[in-house]
Amino acid sequence: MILARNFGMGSQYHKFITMKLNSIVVLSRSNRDNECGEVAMDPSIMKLLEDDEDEAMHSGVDVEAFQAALNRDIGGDVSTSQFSGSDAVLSQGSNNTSSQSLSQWPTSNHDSQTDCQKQESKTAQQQDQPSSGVELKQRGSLAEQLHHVASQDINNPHLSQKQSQDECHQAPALQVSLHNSQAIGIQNSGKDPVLNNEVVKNHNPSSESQYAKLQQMSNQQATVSEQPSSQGNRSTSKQVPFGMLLPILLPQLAKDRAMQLQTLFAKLKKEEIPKDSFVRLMKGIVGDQMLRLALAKVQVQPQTRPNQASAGQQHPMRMPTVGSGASQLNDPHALAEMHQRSMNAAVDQSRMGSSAGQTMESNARKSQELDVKIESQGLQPSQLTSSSSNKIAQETERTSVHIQGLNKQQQQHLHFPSAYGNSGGNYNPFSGTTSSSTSSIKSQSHDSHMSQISYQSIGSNHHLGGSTHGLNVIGMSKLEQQNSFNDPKRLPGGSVSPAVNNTVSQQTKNAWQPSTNKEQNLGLLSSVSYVKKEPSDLSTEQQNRHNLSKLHGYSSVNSAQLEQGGASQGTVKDEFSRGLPAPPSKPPTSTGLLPQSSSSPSVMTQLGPGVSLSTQIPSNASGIGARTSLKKPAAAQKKPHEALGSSPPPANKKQKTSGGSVEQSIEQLNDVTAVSGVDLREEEEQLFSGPKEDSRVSEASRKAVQEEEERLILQKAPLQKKLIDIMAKCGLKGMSNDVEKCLSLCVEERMRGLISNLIRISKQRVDFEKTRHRTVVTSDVRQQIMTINRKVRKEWDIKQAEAEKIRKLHNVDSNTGVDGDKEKDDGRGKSTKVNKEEDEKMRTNAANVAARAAYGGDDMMSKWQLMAEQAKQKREGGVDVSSGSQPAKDVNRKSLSTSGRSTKDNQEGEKKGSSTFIASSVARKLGRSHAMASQTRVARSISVKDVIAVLEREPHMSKSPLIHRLYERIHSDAPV
Amino acid sequence: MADQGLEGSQPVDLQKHPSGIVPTLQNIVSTVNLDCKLDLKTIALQARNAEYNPKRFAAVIMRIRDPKTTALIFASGKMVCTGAKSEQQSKLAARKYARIIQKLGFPAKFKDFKIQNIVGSCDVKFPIRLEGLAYSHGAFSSYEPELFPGLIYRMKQPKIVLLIFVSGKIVLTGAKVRDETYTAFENIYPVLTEFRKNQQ
Repeated sequence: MILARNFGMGSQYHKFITMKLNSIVVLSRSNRDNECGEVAMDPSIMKLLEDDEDEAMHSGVDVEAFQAALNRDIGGDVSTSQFSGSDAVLSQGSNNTSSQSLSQWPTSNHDSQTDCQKQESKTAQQQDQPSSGVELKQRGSLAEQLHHVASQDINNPHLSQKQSQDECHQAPALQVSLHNSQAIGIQNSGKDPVLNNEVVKNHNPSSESQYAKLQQMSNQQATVSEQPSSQGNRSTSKQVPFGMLLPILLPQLAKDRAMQLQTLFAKLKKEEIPKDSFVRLMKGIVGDQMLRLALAKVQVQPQTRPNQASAGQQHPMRMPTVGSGASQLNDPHALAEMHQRSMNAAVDQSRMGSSAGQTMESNARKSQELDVKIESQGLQPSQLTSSSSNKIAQETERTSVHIQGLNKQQQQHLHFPSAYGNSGGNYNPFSGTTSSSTSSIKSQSHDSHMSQISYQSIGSNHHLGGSTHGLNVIGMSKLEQQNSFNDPKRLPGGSVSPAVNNTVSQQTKNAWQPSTNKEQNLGLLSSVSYVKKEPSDLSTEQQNRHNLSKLHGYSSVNSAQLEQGGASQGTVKDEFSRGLPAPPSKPPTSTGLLPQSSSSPSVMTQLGPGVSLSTQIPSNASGIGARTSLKKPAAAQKKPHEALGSSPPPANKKQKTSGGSVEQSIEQLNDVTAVSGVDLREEEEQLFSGPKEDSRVSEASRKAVQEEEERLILQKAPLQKKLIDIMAKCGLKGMSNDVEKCLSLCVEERMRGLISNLIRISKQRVDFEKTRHRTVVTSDVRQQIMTINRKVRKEWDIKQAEAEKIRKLHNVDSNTGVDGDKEKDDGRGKSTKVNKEEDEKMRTNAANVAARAAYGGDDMMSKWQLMAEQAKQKREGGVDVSSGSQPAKDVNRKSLSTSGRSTKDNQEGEKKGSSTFIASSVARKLGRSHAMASQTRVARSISVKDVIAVLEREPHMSKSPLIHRLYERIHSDAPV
Repeated sequence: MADQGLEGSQPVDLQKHPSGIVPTLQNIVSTVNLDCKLDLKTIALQARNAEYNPKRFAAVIMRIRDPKTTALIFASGKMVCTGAKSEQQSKLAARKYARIIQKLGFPAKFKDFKIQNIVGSCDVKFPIRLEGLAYSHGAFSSYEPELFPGLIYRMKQPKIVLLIFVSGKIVLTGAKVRDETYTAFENIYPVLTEFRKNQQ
């Protein structure tokens, strides 16, 4: 047992070394060792006193009642083999008790009463433990005697063989022999059992009976280990998880988290942070889920020990039948003690074997062995020291009182220090035995008192007072705690491997899922996500594993609560403060809800980030089914988004189109041109080559323009005469050369406007006048020539009149504006553009049309060619026109049709002029529809009335003498 | 005799194309309403000759070989058909596209078919002085040789836009009826002959 505790301490010490190589840590450790040693003195003394009381007061205890009590005690206890060390110590105490004389009994009784008054519930618990061990060891010693007799012959050849572990055990033996009254006898008996053990180890196959006895001894060892109090069990269970959890957790954590966890553990050992904060921080680093899985692994090892315990329970049933005597107890105690030590060695070897292959644990074992040697050496100086009995006794009492205070504080603040205290207590008997007879008497009284109390608590309640009642209550609460602690272990049922497999697989999956959560940047707490992930695995597993996993989940929750022990309320508060979605008290509800949250991350992964899910996940569906169902709703959700997204672009496109219609960028023109098959490059090339040709053409056109400008529409001689007259009237002396040109251009524009208006009005005439104009009249050449000359005169007069009025009114600008508007009208109509020409040009055109008509050229091409020729004539100049005008006149005289009024030469002349207009207009409009043709017939001639109508509309001409003369002609026509 | 000659020219053959040149229709754009919401992704996946890139353009671009046309199909059910050479072909193509949509499982109809634009082109076979034309018809012309090599002539009646090039090639666009294209050309032909460039 001592070695077992040393192993635990060694592993912790090893971690100190691995985490921080600091001398202060070593010093603090050595200090702790000393304190632990001192703490243990009081319990051993009390145990001895209790043993004495038991023998004196209950010598006549009923055997049956005792058997029943043992059965209940054994059945209720679950423990580990680490407590075997304390049993060995107790056996030494019993040896001392038997060796003492009865004359000192009254003194020990007094001491035991004093201790009873001072003790507390925890101290009483510790006392119960060794008394039961003593009883069992007495029975074990008988078996050793038989074993000793059988193997005496083999001892001699192997005396020289000794192992390092045996050396460790020799130290206590030597100590006992040095201070025992029967030094020689005990020394001899001590050596023989050691040799016997060596023989057993070396010759196991040779002797079957020896092996069977060894098994029985190992069973007794397990049975003895069950006796320790429940407090010890709880302290051990609390100790194991921290020491054993770290190796399990560290490989599974990331490097930074592992370092954080190790740092926290180092701080815990330094006592910088309390246990509660350590647990809270550890959960924060590791996560509640992984912590529970690690606890499940730790609990797997203790499950194997109950099997040994059950076997041991059967064995003690036979022990009570053996009788016991004072003389026999002396030797059996010594033999039992030595046997216990050998059993410890065997246990150590088995552990070494189990830890094979793990370098870390093997290193821990080595460090534990070193620790054992150091501790054994440390105890020797105290044994060697001897002084007066009174002084030593007083010092022991004072030290024990002080150590009790320290022990209480340590237990309150830290769990591991209390473990040290328990393990350190095992060494106290050595120092007690080395003291004087007075101190040994005190220890005897303590042992007897403890045994008395334990018997009463196990037996009926009516024998004890209030203190006994308190012990019973505490014992019952402990038993209940043990039962609740055992329940999680039993839940896995007959097979352990399925649970282990599930645990491993779950851990693997859980390790993967947190990273997934990180990738998706979920806002959930890491601990919450771990808890939620566990049920999600259930959905993907088989039905059987599903059930097992559920049970395992519940057990892990329970074990987590039990582990926290006295801090259960604080833990519950922490859970609520951390915002856990479902408290452990309602596992079914949380199980039902968890699949929903667990499925969503995977679905989000498949659908991609940014997609919001409005559908709910069915809690009962399996993970695969949930994912499948989720994909469809998500796809359906995407469609509306696409539909909505697609509608805006058409609107934008329409807006762009409308904008383009306003601006119509060059790109659109290029597109249209490309569709039409026009090569823009060729077009550009032609434009580049165009300027050269255009320059020549432009020069020719410039010459033509100049010639036309020089040739005024008004005759120079008459114009000059008229201007001289006007200058004389106005009093002007001279004028510039430009005046003639300006007047000529003004008259030209004026005449253009008048003629266009006349043509439009002539079209509006009614049909009844047609009959008059269609009459054919023949006249002689002389009269026609005279008519032409008169016409020329009148035109000249008209021009003079207009020029004069324009000069007076200064309305040149207004006239120009009016002409501009008319030009626009011409442009729109496009049929009156030809009217720009002079009278001579019109006559020429009419002649040409008549000539072509005579030749029979009715096709459209000839007419278009005619238009092209007219354009050329404009560019060539006036020479061609003048040459062409002569033949035109001759043709006109012969072909024109006029009214039958031969009596009026003037009328005939005017009508001939109007017929000229009609002919030209006919030529322009032949390409139009039939309706247009009929209109041209109506517009064959322009009558005097038409002229009067146009002039009357103009305000500045309405009262001119020209109109008066026209009216006179009308009147002259009317009488005729 | 002269009178008889004039009367003879009056009953002129009222042909549709006095100039003797008929513009060729190059492209017809039409629209139709299928009158149902469409899932463009499904159409793009199931239909052949269909491409759909929502980031570039929010419509499925589908093509058929006969008549050789391209359609833009929007989620709202509107469709634009381009590339036909005649009104009948454009309508036939639109019906074919609607049929394809119906086979994919959508309740497509054929409503509001309308010709939106007709593009025609022809060649007068003689060079044209664009400067003179732009000057004399300034109200209707815009001519920027540095920006675009053609003269942009916006005729008011009918409302047609003509592109006139030095080489004598003419592009007419913006018509909604075939006759508008023909009328516009007959209107501009005399002007083109007036500004014919003489090769000297």
